[in-house]
Amino acid sequence: MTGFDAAIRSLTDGLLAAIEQDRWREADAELDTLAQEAMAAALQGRTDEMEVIARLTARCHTALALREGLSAEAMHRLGQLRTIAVMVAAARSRRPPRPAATLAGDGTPAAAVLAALRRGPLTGQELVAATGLSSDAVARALPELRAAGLVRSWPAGRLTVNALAGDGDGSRAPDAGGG
Amino acid sequence: MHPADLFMTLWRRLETRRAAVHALAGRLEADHERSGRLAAQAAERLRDGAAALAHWVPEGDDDAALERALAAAQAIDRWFAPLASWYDTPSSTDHPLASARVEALRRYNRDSRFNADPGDGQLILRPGLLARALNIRETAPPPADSDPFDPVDLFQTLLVVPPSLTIGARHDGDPERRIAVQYHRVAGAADQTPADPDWTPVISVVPLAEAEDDLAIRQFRRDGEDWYDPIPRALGQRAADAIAALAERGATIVLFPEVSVHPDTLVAIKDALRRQAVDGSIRYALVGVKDDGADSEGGRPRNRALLLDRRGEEIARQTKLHCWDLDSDQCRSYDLRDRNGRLLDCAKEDIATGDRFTIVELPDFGRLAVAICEDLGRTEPSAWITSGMMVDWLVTPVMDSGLTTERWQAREGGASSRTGGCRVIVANSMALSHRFNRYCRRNGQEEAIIRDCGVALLFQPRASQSSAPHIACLTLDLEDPSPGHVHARWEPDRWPTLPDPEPEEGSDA
Repeated sequence: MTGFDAAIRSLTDGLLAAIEQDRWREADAELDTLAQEAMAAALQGRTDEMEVIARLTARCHTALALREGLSAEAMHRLGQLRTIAVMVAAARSRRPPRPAATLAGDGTPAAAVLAALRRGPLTGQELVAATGLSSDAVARALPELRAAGLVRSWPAGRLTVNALAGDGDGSRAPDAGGG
Repeated sequence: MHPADLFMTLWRRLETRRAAVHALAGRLEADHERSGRLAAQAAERLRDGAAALAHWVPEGDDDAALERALAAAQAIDRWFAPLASWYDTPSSTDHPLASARVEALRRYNRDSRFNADPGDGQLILRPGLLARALNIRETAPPPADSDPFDPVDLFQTLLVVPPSLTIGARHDGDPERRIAVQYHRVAGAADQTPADPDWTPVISVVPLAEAEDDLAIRQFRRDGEDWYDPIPRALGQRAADAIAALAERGATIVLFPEVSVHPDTLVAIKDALRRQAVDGSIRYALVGVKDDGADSEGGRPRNRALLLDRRGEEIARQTKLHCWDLDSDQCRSYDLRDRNGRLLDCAKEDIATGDRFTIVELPDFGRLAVAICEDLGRTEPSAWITSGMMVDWLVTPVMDSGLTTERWQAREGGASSRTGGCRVIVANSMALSHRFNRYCRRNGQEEAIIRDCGVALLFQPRASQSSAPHIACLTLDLEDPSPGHVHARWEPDRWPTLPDPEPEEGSDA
């Protein structure tokens, strides 16, 4: 258990104890701290800390929800815990793409895809053939390249065509978004 | 007008003109510049709102109108893409459609659909949670002319779940039926991140019925026909011990096979889940039960799988849709005899079948569908699930003799994981293997006797069209089944590839 893990466990155990003993001011202070830590970890992209907060918030929520005969005050704090858990889960459900320089680094699948697209727009299957990568590797590289703004894509019937962002060829086609 | 509702209008147009849309798709697949221009025009109109995009699409059935209808629907599909992505994409609060994006999320969370009218079905995100970082569909080979055309494949992000599906007869000779279809997003305080490509859940199976009498087969005659009815024994302590052990071993989900759980055992399972809820690892349990049929036609029992959360609360249920009627070979293999000791020629499963198919999205596990035993082998709804490629997990509780990588479950599970892109899990009990062994010993088939009894098959979909799914077969010793459960981390790179499909078997379902 890391120091951060121990600190958040102490915080959530303190919250449960405060609710158990109807010490609502203290309970709200513990909730404030948990929410502040959660938001700070999310904004700074501290994924390990978000994992700890998600796990211990869900644990605390479960422990409280299992208690029978919760008062209205306790139910109110249960709802707040759930909100924090939902916010942390939302922050953990997506990642920023890696920087363009990292993605374009030699030897990576993303770099191979970018190199192939320098010769013109290609479908996903054509990229597999052009790069020699597996379907899996190409399918994994494309969403991150799009999110990083390096590749844009458009539908052609059942296919998806990909091009380097800013290329003249097909440049009127829209960005695909992150998918 | 919300973009989702415009999509539904366009979808209906495209569906009613399948042949023309198929031809149009073929032309666009051959002309990427033209498709790019159309996509850009549609996206530009959508930036001014759904009403502007609707205005851009002319009425009528001519090719030009159809072309714009398709381009408009695909523009909306791409507008939804950030909601189905593992990667952040830039967005702006002053975008004209920012409010529509909030409304879309609001509808999805509240109603489990983006569209307003439930009569149209449910417009949902096509990728499940596991497919948010990797879209294997877009690197698939271009469709062949001989492939059946499905308008679903024109869209990467959105999928229409129809209100109902036609499925096969419950027994041979019965008519086809329509069943309701429902997608249900389960909310909760989650701590797992299924969309993370590095996430590796631990799957566990508790066969529970280890001896023949743990899952007895009752036979009886009604209306001149032979019927069978499995009777699970109350094994609450065994189930509770397994849950406690698996909670310490890091299991994410625990599966109890088809009709293996007696009502008293279900109570024990719920209690055991609650005991581990705070510090244990188990997030869900899928429990195969036989309901008493108090609410069914003719009072017949229902064969069900109940999905429980970490606190033992039921959050979803699936009733078996098709009966598994045994032919003479199967009656012989499972030693099914009448009261005079005569082997039966056939035996029908005595259940009231379900009329609803449910897909659930679990925040701690991903999108899951349950196909109970025979339901996996029937065309619908399994084919619809796999063609839509929208579920992360297809779980199949069965009651059969030991699983192997050659038997029907492997064939059907392999097919689903080959075409569907979803992970498939089959969970089995052990009672029928004792019956099968008795048949083998009586007939001198020592080589076929089951010793390591397959209780779980785990399928990882193929990574490309040219590769095979990976498979793990988890077994327990039939004579000494301790510890009474199996578990495996989802690490398919460590598993062997699934052998090529074998020819059809005639001896089992």
